[in-house]
Amino acid sequence: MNLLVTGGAGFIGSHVAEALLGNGHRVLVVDDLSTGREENLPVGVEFEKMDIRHPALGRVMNSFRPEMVFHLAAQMDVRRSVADPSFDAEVNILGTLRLAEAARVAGCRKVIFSSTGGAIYGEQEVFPAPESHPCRPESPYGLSKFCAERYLEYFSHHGGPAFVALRYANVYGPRQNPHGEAGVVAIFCEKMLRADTPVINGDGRQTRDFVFVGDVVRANLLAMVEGVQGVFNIGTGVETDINWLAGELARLCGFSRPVPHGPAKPGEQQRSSVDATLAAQVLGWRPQVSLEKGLQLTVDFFRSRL
Amino acid sequence: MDTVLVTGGAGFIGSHLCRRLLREGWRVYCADNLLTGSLKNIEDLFGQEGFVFLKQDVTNFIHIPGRLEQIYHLASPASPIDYLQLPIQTLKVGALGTHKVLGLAKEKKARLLLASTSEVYGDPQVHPQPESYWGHVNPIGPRGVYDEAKRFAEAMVMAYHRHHGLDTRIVRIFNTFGPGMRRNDGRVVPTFISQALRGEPLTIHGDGSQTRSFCYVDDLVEGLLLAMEKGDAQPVNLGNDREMTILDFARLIIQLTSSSSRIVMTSRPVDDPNVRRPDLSRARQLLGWEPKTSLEEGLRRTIEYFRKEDGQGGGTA
Repeated sequence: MNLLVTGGAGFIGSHVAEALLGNGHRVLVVDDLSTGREENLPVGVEFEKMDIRHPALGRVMNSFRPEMVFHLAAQMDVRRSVADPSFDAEVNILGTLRLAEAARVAGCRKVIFSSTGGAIYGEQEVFPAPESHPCRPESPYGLSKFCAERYLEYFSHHGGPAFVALRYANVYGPRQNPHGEAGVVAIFCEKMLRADTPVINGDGRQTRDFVFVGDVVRANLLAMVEGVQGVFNIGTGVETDINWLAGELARLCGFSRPVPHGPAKPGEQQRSSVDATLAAQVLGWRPQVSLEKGLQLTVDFFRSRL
Repeated sequence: MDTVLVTGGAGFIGSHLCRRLLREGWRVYCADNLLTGSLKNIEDLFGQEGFVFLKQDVTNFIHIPGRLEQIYHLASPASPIDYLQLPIQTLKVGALGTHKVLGLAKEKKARLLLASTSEVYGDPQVHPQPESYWGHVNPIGPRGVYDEAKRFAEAMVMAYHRHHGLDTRIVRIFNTFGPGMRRNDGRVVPTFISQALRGEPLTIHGDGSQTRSFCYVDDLVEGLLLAMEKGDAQPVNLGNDREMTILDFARLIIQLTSSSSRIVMTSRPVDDPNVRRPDLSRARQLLGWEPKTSLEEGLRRTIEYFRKEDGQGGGTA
């Protein structure tokens, strides 16, 4: 079938596009390459270099007629969302809204939206957080993702495509940008392999729920199934602290020096993990790649690019 | 809207061809694996109605939905520094890539034009080179990977024409230049222009007495369209038959850029042809085609392009 992947030149989007091509679908990627990279585009994909807010998006969709849209294009930098909340809202809210309108006109059946589990719940009351946990985002980024979900939900009730939101925990794996603000695994890998010194923010006892990109891709594929709708957490439910992560990566990278601690980042969440029981029940999704294995694959990738 | 596929559409000639075909009202599938092509060349085509970019390696199966009327098969590393660095990919795209594209043409009943090269003549013993000349190629030399890939591609196109009755064209392209060439692609035009704009010495291989002829890309693209529409299955040369020594050419570039660069001489690479000039009788007769842009005018536009590139922080001025 014809499938559209927005943000398909990015880290997660390119893996999704690649998997869809591998399953024999015809895939169009729309990406403005602001953070995505042309070398991430998988072979066999059709590509339109375009901002999702561009007025021509509707025409592109009408001519391609995707049955489903995987919407991964986003402003994904939490710090930038704090510095420039309007820009964040324009891309993440208005961009999604435009896409939803165009999808409705083009007769698209479903939008599978990449949302965030890490930023949508705020400081958690329960560990791991289920989908029913209150959403109290502490950044414009979390707010814009939450709002985009609601718009897609609204459209699904008003003649638009069905809607799935996948709220990812901390996704890591090959092709993650090691030079960004987020993505501690990629940042540490790059630095350790180059014998540069990574820095742990604060005491390193803050926790994250790390989920491998291959597992995230599988969640996207499972979300295509007829009748599947709604909001699903995609994570392992396991909290891993940054000290452990740094130690494990140092071992895999052959980095023998101690990893220094820097000042804690103000406003950084202490603990985070999501409960993916619903995804297990409805999608039949469970993470399959252990953190040890996933980190090994990621280190191998970054090493091959040195 | 009729549909055309351009393989290698993000390359230097391919991007100019895509732009022209869109202007002529075609729906254009531009396929490129971006190995030597670049999205920068087709930046202005995204968002245009009828344009579809396909990141594809033509040695893999190519799927184009619906009808397809024509295929321009340009995909290949084409600059010596590229094919010397990518010898196996070059042979693969000439052989496997051409085979896949011919299969697609057969399935879609599309007319196919193969972009071949003056390199099929090798270091020619006949001057100028008519299409009837069989060439003088060293199959095992380092440049053989490109020459033989294209010779094989021509052989396969003719076999599909004879055996399957496919409607085909073979165009042997001589040196072409213009905006969109890569500054560092090793060819003489961008190398000389970059050196002249930076005030660095222009490097000539040998004593500069070897000759070349240079065709401006707009003329070449016009020739490709005419060959597709009015040509036949036999090869046709496209290029410019104004022949010039490399030394004179270097002087001309220094003059047009008002540069103070000197000219220095270095050693010749292996199997570098001594003379190269197309015999254009067949192109003139069959297609009524004639290169129109003077070398000076073409160079002015190309120099302008490289100057702009420099202005955008692309290099040093």
